[in-house]
Amino acid sequence: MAVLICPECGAENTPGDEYCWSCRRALTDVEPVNDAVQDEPLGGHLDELLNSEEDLPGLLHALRQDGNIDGEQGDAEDVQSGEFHDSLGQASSGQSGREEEIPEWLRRIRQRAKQEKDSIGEVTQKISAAQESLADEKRSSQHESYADWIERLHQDFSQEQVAKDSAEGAPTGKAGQLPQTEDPEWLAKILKVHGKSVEKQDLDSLSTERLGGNSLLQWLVDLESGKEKLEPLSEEEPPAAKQSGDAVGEGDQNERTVDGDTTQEIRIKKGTSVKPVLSISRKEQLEADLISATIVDETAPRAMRKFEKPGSPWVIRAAVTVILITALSLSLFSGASTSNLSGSLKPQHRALITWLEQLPAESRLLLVVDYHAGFEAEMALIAQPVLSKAVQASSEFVILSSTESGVLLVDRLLQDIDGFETLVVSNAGYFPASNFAAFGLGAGIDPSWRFVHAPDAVNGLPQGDFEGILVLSDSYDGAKTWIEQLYAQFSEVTINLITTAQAGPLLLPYYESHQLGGLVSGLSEARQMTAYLNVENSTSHLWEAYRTGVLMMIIVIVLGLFFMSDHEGQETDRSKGEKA
Amino acid sequence: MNWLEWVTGAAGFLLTVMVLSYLIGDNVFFRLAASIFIGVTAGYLAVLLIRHILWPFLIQPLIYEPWQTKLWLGIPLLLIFLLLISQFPRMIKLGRIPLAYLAGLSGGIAIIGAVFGTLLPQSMAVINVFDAWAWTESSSPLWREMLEGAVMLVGVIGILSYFYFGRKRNLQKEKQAEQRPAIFEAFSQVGQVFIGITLGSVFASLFSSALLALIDRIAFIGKFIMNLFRGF
Repeated sequence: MAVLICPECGAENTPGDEYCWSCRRALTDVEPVNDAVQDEPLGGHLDELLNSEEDLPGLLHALRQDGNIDGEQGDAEDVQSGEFHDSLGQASSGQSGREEEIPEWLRRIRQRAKQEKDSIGEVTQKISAAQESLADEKRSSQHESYADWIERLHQDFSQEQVAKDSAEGAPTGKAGQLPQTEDPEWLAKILKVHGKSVEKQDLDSLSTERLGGNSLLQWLVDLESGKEKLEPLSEEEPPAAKQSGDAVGEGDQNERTVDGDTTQEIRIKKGTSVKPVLSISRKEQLEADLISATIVDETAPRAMRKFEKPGSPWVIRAAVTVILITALSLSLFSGASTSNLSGSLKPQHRALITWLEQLPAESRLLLVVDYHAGFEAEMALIAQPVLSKAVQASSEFVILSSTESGVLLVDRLLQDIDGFETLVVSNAGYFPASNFAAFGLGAGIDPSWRFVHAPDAVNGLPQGDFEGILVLSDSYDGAKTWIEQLYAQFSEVTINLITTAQAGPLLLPYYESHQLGGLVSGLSEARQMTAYLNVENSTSHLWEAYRTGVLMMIIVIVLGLFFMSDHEGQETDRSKGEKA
Repeated sequence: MNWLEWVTGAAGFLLTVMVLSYLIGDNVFFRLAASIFIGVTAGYLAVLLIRHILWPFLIQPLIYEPWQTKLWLGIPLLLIFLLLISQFPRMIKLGRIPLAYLAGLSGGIAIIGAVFGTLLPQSMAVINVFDAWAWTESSSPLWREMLEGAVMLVGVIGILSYFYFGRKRNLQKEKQAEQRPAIFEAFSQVGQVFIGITLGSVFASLFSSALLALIDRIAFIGKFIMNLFRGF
């Protein structure tokens, strides 16, 4: 199957893709390559390979496969022959070209692994473990393994020749010896591929003089011992081999199926010794490609524009800060706002006011405090008008806090309210919301199911009936949790929410679903409530400063849009210049 | 101003200025103030937990309750012990038992709360918008009720379509996996508009709260300085 190999990250893409799925590089200039080497197991017979332009490693692999078909060799020999195959691959590329033979993605992974031990993860660890264990294991026995394999190959070939000769009626030599006068055509192919092109008539002399009179086997032994050397393949490599090499890492990679899962054999090349064989799955190969692409992202120059946010000088920040604080201070200390209120009360405000007006005398309220010290000012502004009305009608507040400083904060809040002195305030304690819910679950257990003398979970909950619940919260999450838990346990009691501006819009759906009786959030709503309930507080003093701050925010956003668009224009011009 | 107000006011003033110094960049004063706040909060929380959780629900029953109840308290004590000894590297596996208990309990509570406190009521609220009987009873004009229902319907479908990731990921065919059915693509475009409006509203609300906190701190600094001059 033809594939498009991304030159940027090496990922495979289907023909017709305009961009690489991995790194988004344009693939319009990439030619499709044949992926047959990866997709199909290399199991062809020698005759088929001889009819095609194969490189030496592929041909020798075919020899090994041919030997397997004859049934003499087991799985263990795959490793041995694979190592031999690898050694030939190394020899063919020469000493100087050894580094170039390592696939690009593997070289990058190794570099990264040297810098950061755990940066690559499982694939690199697997490679390293395989290198160490297999190198130790095979180092002592590799020569014997090669000798055995070569001997078997020799015997198989001799048997084939004997059978062939007997079928043709020709005289045969001694079993186990190759006839020196009939060197096979595939040997000429091997030599031709590696720059040792010889004519048919020269094979006799090659067999006797160059190869020491023992044909291919002796030549292979010489290769192993270093007497014989091969020319580099770089310029004469057949196109098919080059394509597969680009795709999977210098062509030193085969594919096979083990237990239904497709795995690839990658021969790790390092130094001069024979390297172990590593089997990795298709998924691992893709992950390695992704890692490679990530590394490329970090190091290689990218076509994609890099947005480099210029850090604004501290002088500018200081100037903006001074302007902001000065403007806010002037508007803050210039006096209370005299601007008229606009707009009518929203339904959630009206509902809250109605609930306050209908509160029975001497009522008992549960006050849930779920705000932090940072929002004390805002919460005080919003809650003060509501609590002022609630204090007038109530006789007891039960305070339940789910923040560390909740009890302290609500004490300060209530002290500023008229009539607080006559109120009975009970501290129910510090209750993280999940803690409250756990007690609620325990309290819901049927009494008949309770174990004897087990601690009573109900003791952990605020006792008694409440005329209403007020939740004071500064965040969406906290308010949501309390609404959920309280609605489940006190479904008959009206729950009202007083919250900051940042949580208000997100909590409005709980009012729409009638889980909340009323809701008020933010300074503008607090100002309306204050005016309607005719309660004195400092909302009007802060209102002008608030409006000034909002105005400045709008100015900053508009200026930011201009500067950002100008900056983007410069970046675009720069990227165009780089492309040119 | 008495001496206590002076000290607390000065500490508050200094800490406020140290935090506000972050406006001109990260510096040692801001980090010092942040460290002080974190340390104080942690210490206060520890005291709070001992006073409001451990003392009333564990220590007090161990002292005053009958021995049968004390036996029940052996369960939390055992879990506490396992959590403590899990700090030793060899005992780290034992810490999984109390953590598993906590995770299971928290998960159960969260799921129950989310389903019965949010998911079902909110779904019912969405459905009720299309209750024609309620339209007639509402004080709002009929066209407004219908428009509200239509906007609700389009918004819900659009946002759900935007978060539709129903296909299995295929690393090799990532490009194809990104492509959703055309109808989901169309609705997701609408959903993006709703999400954009929501996020814009959240941003404005966040800014509003932060601005009020800043105004409050400026007011505090101004008030402190004025009191300082009045004192002299």
